[in-house]
Amino acid sequence: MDPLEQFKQTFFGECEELLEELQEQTSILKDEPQDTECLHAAFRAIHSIKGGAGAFGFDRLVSFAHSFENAFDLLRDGKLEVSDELVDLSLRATDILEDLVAEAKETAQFDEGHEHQVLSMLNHVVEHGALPGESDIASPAISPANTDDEDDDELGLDFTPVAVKIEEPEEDDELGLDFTPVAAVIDLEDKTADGATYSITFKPHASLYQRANDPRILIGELRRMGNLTLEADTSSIPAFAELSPAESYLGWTISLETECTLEEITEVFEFVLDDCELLISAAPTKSENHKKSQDTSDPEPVQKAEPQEAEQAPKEGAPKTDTPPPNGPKETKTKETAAKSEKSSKAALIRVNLEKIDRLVNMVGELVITQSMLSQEASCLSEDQHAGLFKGLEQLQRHTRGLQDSVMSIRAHPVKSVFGRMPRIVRDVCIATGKKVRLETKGESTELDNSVVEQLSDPLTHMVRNAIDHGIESPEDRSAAGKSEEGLVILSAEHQGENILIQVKDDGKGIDREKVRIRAIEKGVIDENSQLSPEELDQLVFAPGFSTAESITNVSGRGVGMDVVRQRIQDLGGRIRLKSTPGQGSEVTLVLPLTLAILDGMILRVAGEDYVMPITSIVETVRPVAKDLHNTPSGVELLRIRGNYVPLVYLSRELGVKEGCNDASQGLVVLCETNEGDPVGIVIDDIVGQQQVVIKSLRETIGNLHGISAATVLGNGKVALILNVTELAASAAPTPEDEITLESAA
Amino acid sequence: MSQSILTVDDSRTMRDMLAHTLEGAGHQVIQAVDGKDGLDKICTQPFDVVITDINMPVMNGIEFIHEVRAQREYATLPILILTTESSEEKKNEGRQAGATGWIVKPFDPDKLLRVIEKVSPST
Repeated sequence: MDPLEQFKQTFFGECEELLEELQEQTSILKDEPQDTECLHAAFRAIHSIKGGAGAFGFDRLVSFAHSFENAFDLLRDGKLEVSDELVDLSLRATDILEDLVAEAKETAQFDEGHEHQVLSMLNHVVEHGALPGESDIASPAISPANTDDEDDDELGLDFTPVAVKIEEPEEDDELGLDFTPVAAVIDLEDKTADGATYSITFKPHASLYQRANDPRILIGELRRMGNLTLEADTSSIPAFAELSPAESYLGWTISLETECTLEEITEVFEFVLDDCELLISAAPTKSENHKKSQDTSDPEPVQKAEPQEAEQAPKEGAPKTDTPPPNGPKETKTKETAAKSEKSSKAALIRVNLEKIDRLVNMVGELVITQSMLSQEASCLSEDQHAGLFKGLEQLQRHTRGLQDSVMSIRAHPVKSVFGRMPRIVRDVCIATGKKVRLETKGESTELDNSVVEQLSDPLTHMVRNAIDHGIESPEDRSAAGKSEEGLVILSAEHQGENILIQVKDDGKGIDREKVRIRAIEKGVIDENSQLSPEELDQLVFAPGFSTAESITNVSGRGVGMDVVRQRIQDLGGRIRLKSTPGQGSEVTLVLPLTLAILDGMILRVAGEDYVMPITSIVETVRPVAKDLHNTPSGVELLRIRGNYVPLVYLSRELGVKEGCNDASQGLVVLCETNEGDPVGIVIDDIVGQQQVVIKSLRETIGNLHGISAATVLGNGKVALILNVTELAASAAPTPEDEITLESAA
Repeated sequence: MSQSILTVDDSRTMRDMLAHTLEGAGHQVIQAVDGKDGLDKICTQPFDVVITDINMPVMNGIEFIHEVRAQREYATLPILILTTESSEEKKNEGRQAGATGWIVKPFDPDKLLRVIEKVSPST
């Protein structure tokens, strides 16, 4: 990849992180407007985006970021107070910044007016130190629709000034004097053509040395430009007793014969113009037509630069101790909160291209296959005769496992990056629905495979939106129901064995089952006469095309429903569970695998073929006896196990294999967990063993196969299919009739 | 001749670009992600030049320069600040802290190398 392209990719990657950071910090600001570190962090994020964008010439992004940055600069300097309205504006600006990054990335396009309104609001804030039109803020801040000029005018008229510190710190004035613009040095009239002789007088101030500038280097640079004669000016050296080790007394008169221009000569002194007396003239003689760089008759600059604590001074100059940075108090504040920001800043990291890690994961996968192949080959040897070989194989297995764990941990990513977006979603939904909701997050540091985390964002967003839009009641309704006005949504993540559980829990009204039933009948999902248990009614929200929202709100109704969420989660190899208690709230749980690349599988055999079932779905295996097997009227076979009835599915029938076990009492039953929580028994011929397998997706090549999620290569080199337990279990779902039989049987 | 350069910037993009340019010119580059990291790294080996950003978390560039300059052994170490064109004020703050010179962002690679040469000639 050409380096520029590579830098761009780095930049976009960084932008994502910075935008996330910006989002997070702005959300914190809402609750803690006094958090200076937060302001600093947000400012830095915008600043970094601007800086990078500048390097690649993304002008539109630069100019927007510039205004955004300026507004934050005022907040940061305490010239403007953080208000809810400003936080709102920042959130909107963050969205636009994100859009413009996407535009720069060429993954999106926005018309020219896209950022116009927010930009003019930001500029208004910067210029007037206040948001436009306080009374109008409620509407423009929420609905982006009011972009017409009329509004702008109104906004302009109405603005209310907020406390702004106008007076500048004294140092600034001094600085202003101290650092005269460079242009003053050069008299352009003097610009001479090739081969002129210049006369330069150069006398460093002490400050020049303090900044580690070195006259030897400067003069050396001049020397390379042409013919140079140098004469030291020792006239300022005082009497011995008055000599200050920190002061600079030495000057030089230089005559330079060169083809370089006056600009080029001046450029040599670029960094020291304010730290010296400098006269450059293009004249053959030294006297009359010299131009002064600074007011040299005024010795003040020298005085000013003089350090006060001479004992600290090295021979050539002293470190400056008398000038605190103009924003001294602010710096102290930064230090106080340094620990906090340190916590949030990332530890020593290296960036590795995900592709490289994927390659590594793949290689580890191949290694897992090779290792199991070796074990299988060795299994027919005598353990006594090949003790060393077996020992080695055992170690190989252990190390492979260790390597795999390490590689997987590289890919692991805390769910925080997804959870971090949720406060924003909650806020937006609250504004749109007028509800009050508090979001609690738990287990943010729980780690998941990077690819899972990435794909979790949409489903989770949808779930959180749903929880607020459909779950949480309006403040009035909540009061009436004896609940606190503010609803609660809890977002949590935790490890459970080989799985990660992610839960969205709300304390709202729960699923309105009657509404669901009516809706499902309307949509033709169920029959009018269907008798469904409350839990089954709840599950209907996962039915394709189902949506209970009376109108398509701009919140939940984004064209996707819970069915899409479920599909996504299943694609990730996960399951989704829903529990709802009327009046008390709902709980949606995602059960996700730790990794997408390798799974612990049980190798099952049906009709001489091997299949792999993820061990995480297996509860137990049983060898049933004939008396425990029952048939429902609709032909579903049930297995009675410890007093419970479990529906059975014949793998051979599901996969369309002619041979294979057709009588559960002759085979084995693997009890599996399903989305709904009720176990299902899958009838197979035999169990071959247990093995780690590398998941090879079939979706791109073959598409969706019923009951099959992917394929793998076994130790013996044969290809085996990996079973999709959820899909298989679905075939076993008993009909309502059966349900009755089931219940009466129990 | 190769010089050893410490770059201090919280932006990965900027660090990468600096490293690419400097290493491309044969210099040796050590990267730090903020002022504190810079202070930790500056004493690990002798450096010919330090290039630092101003706006950084944990410890900003101004504090960093102050801290470096406060140590006698670094009194003559050239420190360059990376500034955006518009921030004259920042440049002055950097100079007050003891910065030797400045590089304007977005930087031109040739100009960057010239500036390095300017504060720390290789011959």
